Amino acid sequence: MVKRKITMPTASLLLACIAFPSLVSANAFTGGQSGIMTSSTGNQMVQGARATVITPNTYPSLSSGQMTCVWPAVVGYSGGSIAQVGFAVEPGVGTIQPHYFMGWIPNGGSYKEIQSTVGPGKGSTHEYTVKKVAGGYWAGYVDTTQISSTNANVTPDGVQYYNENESTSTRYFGTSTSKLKFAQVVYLDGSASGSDSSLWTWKKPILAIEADANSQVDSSFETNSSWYSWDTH
Amino acid sequence: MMEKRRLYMILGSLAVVSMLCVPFAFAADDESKNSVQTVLQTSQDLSALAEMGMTLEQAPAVKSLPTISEEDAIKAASEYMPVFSKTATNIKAEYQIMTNPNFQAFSESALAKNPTLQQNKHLEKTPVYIVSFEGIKKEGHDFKGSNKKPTVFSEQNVVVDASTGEILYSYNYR
Repeated sequence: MVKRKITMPTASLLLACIAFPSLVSANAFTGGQSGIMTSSTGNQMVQGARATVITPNTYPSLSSGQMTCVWPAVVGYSGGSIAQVGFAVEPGVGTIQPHYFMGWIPNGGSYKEIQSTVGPGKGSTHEYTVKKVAGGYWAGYVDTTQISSTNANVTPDGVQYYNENESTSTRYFGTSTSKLKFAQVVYLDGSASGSDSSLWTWKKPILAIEADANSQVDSSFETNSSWYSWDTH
Repeated sequence: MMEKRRLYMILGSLAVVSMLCVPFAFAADDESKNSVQTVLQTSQDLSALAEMGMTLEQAPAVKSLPTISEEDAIKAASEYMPVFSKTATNIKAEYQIMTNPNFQAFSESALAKNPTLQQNKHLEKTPVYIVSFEGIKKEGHDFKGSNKKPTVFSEQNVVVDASTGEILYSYNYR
């Protein structure tokens, strides 16, 4: 009987690993995500995500093959789509670290990405926006500069705001004395209209703030829509 | 006698008309050849590029000659991508005329060296080299809760301004 109790969870875990192999190899994340957001009006609720990011005074030093990046994103939990804009340190990609990027995964499609040869300075403040624009395009901006846009079919039902690493062993942005800050975190609510973007409004989302291994997050999101995160290696 | 004269006149007229038509026939042939030459040749996936806002058109044979050479473009891209220049199994360059109204985040030096780019703030029929580093390994970004493994790219593309040698941006899709 005891043996069976041990065996059942083990078998379930093995089954989960077979059914969801990516859960084993998923990247590491520190920041916040919403649940599935749907509108009672029947219109697509999520039409954009925006955050102001204040960079720390030092940047993580990574080796070739490692990656750490920061972004707000609209996410299709149901269809596996995403559109994100932000900045990344990835030593393989260019000599400018970090550099701005925009990436997306269409429904049923593959990830594509464009990288700039410029990026945020240490201790700088920039506003990152990804939103639906004219023609149904998804556009990514740093302040008022467009990083890219795409006509890819992205149908978001959630928003995420993260510092993402390819592994928990890779250093995150921020240190205990100079942290990364997400502020003015909002999403673009399209509940009022399916097509008239002038009726869409920026709102504060409900987020679960969390930190994966070797990082920490100090959230005051409930009170002032911001949080700090940093590396704890 | 009159009939013979008429026949000679008709034959003569036909000969003149034929001679006049020869240059037009060659011209038509030339146009046909030109239309063949203007077919875009690229190893890039044009539908993927369209999804990223980029369109290419065949560079004209004479106009808009690049200022820098293909070797210079590969050198500039390799200096910008030192890791991939060492790990790539193949590095190649294509000269193209590129339009991309979607990308605006150029470096100050790229804008300063190209007055047209400075004015347009985006690529508008801009002569570029697309330098491709093939056989590399670059992991794409992801989102939390994704049910797929992050994409691993095997090609890194770098867009080099063919007039100035400046790196304009880079991209991945395969």
